[in-house]
Amino acid sequence: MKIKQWLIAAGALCILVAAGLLVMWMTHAPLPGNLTYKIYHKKTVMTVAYKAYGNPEAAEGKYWLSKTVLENSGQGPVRDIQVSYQIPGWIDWTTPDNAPELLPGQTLVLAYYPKLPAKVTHIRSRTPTSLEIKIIYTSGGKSIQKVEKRELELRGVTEIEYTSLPADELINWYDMFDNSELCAAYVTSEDDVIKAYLGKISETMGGLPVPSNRESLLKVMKAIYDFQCQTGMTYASAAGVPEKLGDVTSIVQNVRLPRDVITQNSGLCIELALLMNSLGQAAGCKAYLVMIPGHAYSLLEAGDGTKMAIECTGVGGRNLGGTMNFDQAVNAGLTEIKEVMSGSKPGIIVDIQAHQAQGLRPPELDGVDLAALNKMLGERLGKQVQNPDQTNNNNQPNRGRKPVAPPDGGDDTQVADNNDENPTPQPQPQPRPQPQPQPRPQPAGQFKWYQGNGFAVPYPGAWVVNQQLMTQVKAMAPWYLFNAQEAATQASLSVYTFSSTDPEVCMDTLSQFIGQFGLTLEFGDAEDAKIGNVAGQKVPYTLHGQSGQGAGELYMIPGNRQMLAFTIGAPTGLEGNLRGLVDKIVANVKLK
Amino acid sequence: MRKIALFMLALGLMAYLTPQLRAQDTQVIYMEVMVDVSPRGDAAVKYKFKFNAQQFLNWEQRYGANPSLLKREMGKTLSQYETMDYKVEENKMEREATVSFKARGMVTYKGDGVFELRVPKDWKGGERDGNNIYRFNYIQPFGNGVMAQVNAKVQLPEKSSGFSEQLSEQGEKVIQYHLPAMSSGRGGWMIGALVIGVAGLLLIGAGIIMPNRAAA
Repeated sequence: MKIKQWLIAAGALCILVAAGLLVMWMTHAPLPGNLTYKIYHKKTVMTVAYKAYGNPEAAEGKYWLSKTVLENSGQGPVRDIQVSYQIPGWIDWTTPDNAPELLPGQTLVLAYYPKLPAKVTHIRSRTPTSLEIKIIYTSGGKSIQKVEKRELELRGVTEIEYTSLPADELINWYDMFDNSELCAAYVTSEDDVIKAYLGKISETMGGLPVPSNRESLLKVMKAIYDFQCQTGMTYASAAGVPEKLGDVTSIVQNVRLPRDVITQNSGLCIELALLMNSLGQAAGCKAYLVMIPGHAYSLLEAGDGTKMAIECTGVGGRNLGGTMNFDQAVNAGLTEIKEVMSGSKPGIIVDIQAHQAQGLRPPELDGVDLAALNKMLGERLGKQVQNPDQTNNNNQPNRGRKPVAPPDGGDDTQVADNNDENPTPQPQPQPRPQPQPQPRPQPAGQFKWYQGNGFAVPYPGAWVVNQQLMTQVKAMAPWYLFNAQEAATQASLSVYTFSSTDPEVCMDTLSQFIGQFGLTLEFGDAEDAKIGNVAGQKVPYTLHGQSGQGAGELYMIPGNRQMLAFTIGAPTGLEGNLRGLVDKIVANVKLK
Repeated sequence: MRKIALFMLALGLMAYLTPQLRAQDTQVIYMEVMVDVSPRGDAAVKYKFKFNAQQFLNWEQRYGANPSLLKREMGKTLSQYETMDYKVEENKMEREATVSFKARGMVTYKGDGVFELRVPKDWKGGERDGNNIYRFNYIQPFGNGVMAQVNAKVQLPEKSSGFSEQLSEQGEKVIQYHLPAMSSGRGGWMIGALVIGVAGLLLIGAGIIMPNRAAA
């Protein structure tokens, strides 16, 4: 009896305690929190890249429209925090983020990536609107709401703002292209107009191969380029891309979509490059946009990693002095890309595919009358046949851009220098040049000579020498003397003189130097070789880099106090094509 | 911009020494990242770079006279946080540079003592080492042939417990942990009331159903 009573009494006591706790829970007023906030926001939106603004993944999340930093500076918690946004007329109130609780001293950062509708691409010029931000939270048992409003401007679909940095933050040319990756949104390979245009190219040029290697890549590029020439595509000379620091007025530029360039059959350098990129990408290439001061051009990559640059403005125009042929356009592109790669000229290479994969996708575009487009292209082709002089495949265009001229013939020439003396040309309208004498084509097998340091080494006359780059390399490696390279294959000849006559030391020197740049140079077994009329050594080598491999041979001729040496190599797979040439070069080396 | 600076240093001189365009040849930069998360969810972050001669020269050229530029560039790549108090220290003899800053709001509070840390997608690994330390070892491509060999360490608050990991819809690793002292406390009264109340009812019930004879 006693236990039973005790159990009931203990139970009743527990109930009382529980009721007390419940009352405490219900009646106890929490200490109030104090929510303070800062709102950062972008003042403009480039509508062509509206998908990027809606994607936290794009460009490492930098295209947020608004960033709200909330801090609880009070003594109690802030609860049920909701931050909502509205862009009147474009996006209704939406609450992408909320937080159940923010404790005293805590900070919460909420970035807003608006899902803008595709209709924003119908905007053709700057359109003012606003961004409204509503912050709702509970503190000290009270629900609190605050609304903020910020001015916002939607740019036209053809307006690109190359940098978001304030003018007083711009330090160098690169700062002016802080948003360069947005150009990926202009590469519209999925656009029906691009596909139809490519279809017409394929039909007209006898089909397009899959760009799996250098040869097929060149075929694709040539088909596109030649079709553009045949249909009278012109380079509309106007401001290219911003050229120099302080050129603030040109930081915003009108860049039309590739479909508009096709329709109007004319484009700026950047528009033509974006069109080439769109077509190349639609054909299966990887596309890169290369931006240099005052200019832009296209770089395409085949499935095996071979890259080829092309000067898209080579299509020229009647009033611009004619048209580069395809080889000239590729050579010009190659010269330009080498300047960028060597660091002798500032440049930005925009990896279109990589940025698109990160969310910098092109906009949704309206449907078009493809039959009318096809008819228009057919008429252009017909018109061009009637006016064949519209393209001048011989004249060099005179647009401020100096293409690599076909090599001048002639033996026993001192180091050829095809380097551009004026590496930052700005495309400008020029009077039509007078017909000029044509360069003498380089006969097959014609050689030029490197001469110096006691010996002379021949190399094909068509190979390109970059004196400026050699100077830079020599500053690091005084034993480095000379380089010539074939534009199309990147086969190259390099000449050295080492201060040691020990072959192992020479090879180590070369390996260590190249190793500094993350490359691995491996030598095979040395064997005796006749080089010119003297005895020397031949050592095969392979070179390993991230994107591919190269192979070739190192030739060494020991002298009294130095080792004369040269390498001849090519990307792996192409070195076999050099065999005959290598033999010819080796046989004709002359010692003084 | 970080990428561009590194790109320039990586590609500055080698275009002609090999027969291929140099865009993709590898340059490696060694980087240590240390993230020390406070109980409030803020973090003290340190990036330590180890350069070779050419890389350090480029670093000096870009940031040596203008370290504020580094703040601008890092702030941009860490746009999801509120970063502040940047400091740069250099050991020129060892070609090392250490950038430190505070990142507020790095960890979000989900209520009831639960915190959530979203790890950047490119941070690979993430093994828990000891009670409250996560380590990440990975190679991060900066583009244009520049790679960073990164060793990252995330130190969560000392008293954190109840770790769980999952992948977000965006593919980020999400680490959740619990800090009991951080809960706001009011909920404890209600839970206590419920537990004690239920116990009381059970005791009363037991007393009522207990037979008098057994009790006697």
